[in-house]
Amino acid sequence: MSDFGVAGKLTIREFDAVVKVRVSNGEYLHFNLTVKGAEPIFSFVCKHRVRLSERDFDSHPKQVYAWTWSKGQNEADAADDTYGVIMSFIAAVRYTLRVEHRDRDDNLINLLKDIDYESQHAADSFTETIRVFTA
Amino acid sequence: MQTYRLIRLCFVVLLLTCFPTVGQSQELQAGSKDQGCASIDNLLNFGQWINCRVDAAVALRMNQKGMNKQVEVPSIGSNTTSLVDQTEAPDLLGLGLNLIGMKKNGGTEDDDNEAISVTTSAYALYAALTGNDALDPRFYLEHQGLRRLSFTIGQDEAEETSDETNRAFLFGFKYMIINKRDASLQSNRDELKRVSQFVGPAGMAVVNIQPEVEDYLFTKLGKSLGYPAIGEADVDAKIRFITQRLTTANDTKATLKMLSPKQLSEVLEIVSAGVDAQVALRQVTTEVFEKIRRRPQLSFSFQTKQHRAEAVDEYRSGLLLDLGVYQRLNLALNATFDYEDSKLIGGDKRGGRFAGEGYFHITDQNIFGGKDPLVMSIAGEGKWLTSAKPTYTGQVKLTIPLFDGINLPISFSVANRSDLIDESTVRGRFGFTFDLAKLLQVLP
Repeated sequence: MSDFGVAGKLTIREFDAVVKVRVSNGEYLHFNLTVKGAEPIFSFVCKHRVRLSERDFDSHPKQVYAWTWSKGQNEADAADDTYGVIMSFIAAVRYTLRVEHRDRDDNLINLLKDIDYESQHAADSFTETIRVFTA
Repeated sequence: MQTYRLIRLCFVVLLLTCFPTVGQSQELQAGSKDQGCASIDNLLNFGQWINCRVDAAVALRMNQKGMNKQVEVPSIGSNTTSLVDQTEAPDLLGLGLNLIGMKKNGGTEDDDNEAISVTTSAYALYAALTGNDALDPRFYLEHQGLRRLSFTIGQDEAEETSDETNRAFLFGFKYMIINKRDASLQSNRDELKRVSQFVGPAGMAVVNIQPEVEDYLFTKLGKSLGYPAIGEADVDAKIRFITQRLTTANDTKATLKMLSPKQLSEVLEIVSAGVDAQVALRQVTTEVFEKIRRRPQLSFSFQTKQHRAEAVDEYRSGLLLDLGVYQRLNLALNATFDYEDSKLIGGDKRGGRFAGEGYFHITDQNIFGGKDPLVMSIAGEGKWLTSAKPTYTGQVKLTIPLFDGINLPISFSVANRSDLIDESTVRGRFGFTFDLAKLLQVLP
C-alpha cells in the first residue's frame, strides 16, 4: 500500500500541522526543499494564490530550493491561512521538505516539518500543508 | 562448478539482504484494505489522509514508467530472457541474472545454463568518479550526453564443454543515437512546463480543502472534546485542537472515528467538491508523460561473447529502435550484423539478424504499488548466417514485478533449429532483473 497516490512513500521525521507565527516580533518561516531526479516541479501556495514555483528560482533545475515566508515583512494574506508545497513526481523521484519556525535573529524556534516524499509513479503528486495563524 | 554456484547464490542472498526494506514494504502491503491510504485505519497524519482522499476522488492512474530500461542479459547471451535488445540502459546500474534455463531438446533436459550481466551508463560512472549525486537535477541536466553511452559485462553458459574455464564472457556497449525521451531534452522540458502550470492550482485545491475539513471537525467535535476551554480564545482553541487532535496518526484516527457516518460523508463531500484542479493536473501529467514515453529512441549496439578456449567467439553490432505505438503498446526492432569467429579454419559464420518485439503493459502501476507493470511481450527473430540454415525463433515473455526495482522475467521460446543441431528447440527460462536506480528509492 502506498502512503499517497499510486506509489508514494512518506518518511516523516518531524510533523506539525499548525503554527502560530508572531510576525510582528520578526518571526518567520524558512522552507528548504531538496530534490532528486531530472526536473523538480513544485509550487508554494496559500489559500488565495500561487506564491512561488520552481521556475521562479535562479539556476533551475537544481538540487536545493530555499525560501522564506514573512521574513522582514508580513506576507500573510489572512491571519488564518493554510500554506502548502505541492510536489509533482513526473520528472523527480524524491523530495525532502524542511520547514523551520525562526525568530528575527534567524534562530530556530521549532522544526515544523522534516519529511521525505518519494514516488516512482509519474502522475503522483503530494501537497504538504501547514496552517499558519499570524499575530 | 559447485563453487561457482555457491558464490552466485551468496551474491543473490547479499543483494536481497542489502535491500531489506523491499521485503518490509511487501509485508506492510499485506494488511492493506481496498481503500489503501485513504482508509482511516492506514493514515499517517491528517494532511496525508486528505491527500489520499483527494487522490481517491481524482482516481486517475498512469500506465507505466521507465519499463524500457533494459537490465536483462543482452540477447547475445544464449541463456537470456531477452530475445530483442531495447534501446535504453538504466541511468545508474542494472543487474540481469538468469538463474535457471530449462531447455528441452530432443527429449534431453539441460538445467545447467546460467547467465549474469551488469549494465551501467557512462553517466553513472562519471557521477561516481566525480563524487556527484547522479540524481542531482542540475547534474542530470548538464550531462545528458553521458547517458547515451552504456556498458554491459557479464558471463554466459559454457558451450560444448563443462570446463569451468571455458565460460563465455559477455561485453557490450550501446550508444543512443536518437533519444527523444530524455527528461532533460529541451522539447521535453517544454512539455513539463505545461505540467508546472497546473501544479499551483492543484496545490491550492488541497490547502483550501484541508482547513475547511479541520474547521468542520472543530465545529462538530470541538465542544464535546473540551475546545475551547473556559476563557480560551477561539483561535487558540483551534490551534490546540489541531495540535492535539489532528497531528499524530493515533490522535487523528481517534478524532475521525468519532464522526458519525453522515458527518464522515459530509467531510468526503468537502473533499470531492474541491478536486477539479487536481483532476486537471492528473490529466495533463498523464498526457505529457505518455507523449514523452512514446517518443522514439535509436541506438547503436555492440556485443561480444568471448570464450577462453576453442569455442566460437560471437560478435553482434547493429541498430536498435524503440518506439511507442499506441497507449500501452511499444515496439522494439533490432537489425544487426552477426559474426561467429571459429577457431577452425573455414568455420567462421557471418550474416544478418532481424528481431522485433511488441510489448504490452497488462497492468497499470497502481496494482503493484511502486513496482513496474506486468508486461507481456511477443518477439520474433530471424538469423541468416553463412554456412548455416536460417534460424527463426519466436518468444513469449511475461515480466512479473516483484518489488520496487526487481522483476522476474519468464520466457518461452520456440526455434526451428538450434545453432548447432538441426532440430527444433523449445526452451523456457526465468531470471531476475535489478534496477539499482529504483532499488535506491526504497532505501531509507
